[in-house]
Amino acid sequence: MTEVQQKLIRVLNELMHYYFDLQMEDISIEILQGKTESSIIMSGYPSIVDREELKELSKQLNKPRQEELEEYYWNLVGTVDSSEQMNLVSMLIDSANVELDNGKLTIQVYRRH
Amino acid sequence: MSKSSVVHSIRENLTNQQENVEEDVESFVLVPDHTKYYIMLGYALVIMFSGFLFNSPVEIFQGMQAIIVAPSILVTDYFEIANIGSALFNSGLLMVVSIGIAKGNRVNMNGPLIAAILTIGGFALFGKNPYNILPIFLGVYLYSRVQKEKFNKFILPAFFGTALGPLVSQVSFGYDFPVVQGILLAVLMGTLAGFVLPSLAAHFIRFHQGFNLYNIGFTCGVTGMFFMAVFRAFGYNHEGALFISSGNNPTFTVYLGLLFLSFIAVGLFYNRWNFKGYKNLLSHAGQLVTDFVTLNGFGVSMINMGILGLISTLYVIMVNGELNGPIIGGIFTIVGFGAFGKHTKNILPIFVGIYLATLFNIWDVNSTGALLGALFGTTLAPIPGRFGWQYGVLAGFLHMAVVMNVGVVHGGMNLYNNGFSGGFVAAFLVPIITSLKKEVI
Repeated sequence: MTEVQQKLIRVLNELMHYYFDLQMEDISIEILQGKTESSIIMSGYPSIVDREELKELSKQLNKPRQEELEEYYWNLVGTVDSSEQMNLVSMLIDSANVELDNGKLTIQVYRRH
Repeated sequence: MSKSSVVHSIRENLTNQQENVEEDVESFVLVPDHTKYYIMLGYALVIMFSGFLFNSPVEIFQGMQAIIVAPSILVTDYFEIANIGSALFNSGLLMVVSIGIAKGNRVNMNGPLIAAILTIGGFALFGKNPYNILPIFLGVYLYSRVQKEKFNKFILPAFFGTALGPLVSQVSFGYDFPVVQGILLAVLMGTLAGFVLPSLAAHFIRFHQGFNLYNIGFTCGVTGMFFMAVFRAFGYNHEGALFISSGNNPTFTVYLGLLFLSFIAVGLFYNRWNFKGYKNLLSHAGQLVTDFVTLNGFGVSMINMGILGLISTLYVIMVNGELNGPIIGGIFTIVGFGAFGKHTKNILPIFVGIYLATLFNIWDVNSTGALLGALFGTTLAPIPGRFGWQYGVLAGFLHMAVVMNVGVVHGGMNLYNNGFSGGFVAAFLVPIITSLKKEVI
């Protein structure tokens, strides 16, 4: 397995932590891998939605990617059971979209390799 | 549509949406990166040239010579073996060099880099100097070349990895090698240590799950342990050092007080002259990676750094400790990590734990070892930050005992001995705490 794939798994892990924390049972995951870029799309139906929290999440995930942190800290992503660690994901991705549509929460993240 | 095209279209879509989001999300003043660089450079120059308030240029030059040829193993106070002026000059100089390297490599001046620069500045008062940090930088640089990656991806391990500076100095000047052979061997050893650090640091971080903020301290402890074991196997060993100065408290109470008040003033300036956002900063556990500059803004981070500096200085004074090189180095490090995980709520329980430990164990509360334990023990700040103050007290109490026992394995060659100890304490406590918490639930 390549390091690129390992990092995708870590991001996926962290997103799943988040979805499980929201007590979602039916979760759909789509992973798209290109040669130079990848994307994860995760969706589910949370029972309780805090729109302010989602706004904050979107803000966190769209912080600029920082190369100087990625190599050193990427091993932490997806290993710690804490919603605060979602800001770790932003180290590994270039952009994200958090969308709530008819009760369905979809998070898309995109990462250049 | 191919998968690549799908990913591409998602990227385009997200990029457009991101722009919309970013327009109205930041509630704090976004300070341009070059401004942050100028501010950090300004502080480095102030520290560097403040050396001339204490000693003449000739004394500083002679002091720098003494610093460069000192073995520098723990604990070597440059105030004592050289003079105050040259120690401050050395501190500011290494900060300037670090800022230059970071700028040259286009690294963002965010929390981790601020922490690294102030940590280098702090330890340049008792162990790091222009000679012994270079082979470490060289080793990390060679690693980046071998990996075919940009050096900026490894700049944090390079900066924090200078904790192994005494490895270079001790081999150069502490053993009985002929000078040239000693220096060549030392540069080789330092370069080798720097070369292995990035991969080890990235791996060891999982050992304590980010609850030990000085992760490189743990990494350098393990690395130093291997080097020291090899030295001992070949019959090279040394006693620990304890060069400590005293009698500087009145001067440095004013010096540090003014310095940290200026941090708060700069922070307030960039935070629209209020404390907005500080409460939110205090709500973070501080676990790696919590970059306050990115999350809460540069202004609030500077305010937090100033407050931590004042509280740390006050703690030393309240327990009748000495403000010498190592202690001020500890304070600088706390201040640096005020941009990267530490705040009053998560460091005070550690202070209390260390203080309680000194009431019951064999160490005096105001001894240099106990004070270093208290200041650098805040590496465990994420434990109270995440689990509550009582666990912070416990972590501090335990850390005080462990830190006094681990230095011998690396022979004082790892300046971040508390980071080494903190790794063990966090790896030991966190699984127990989390399992207990689950039982309660």
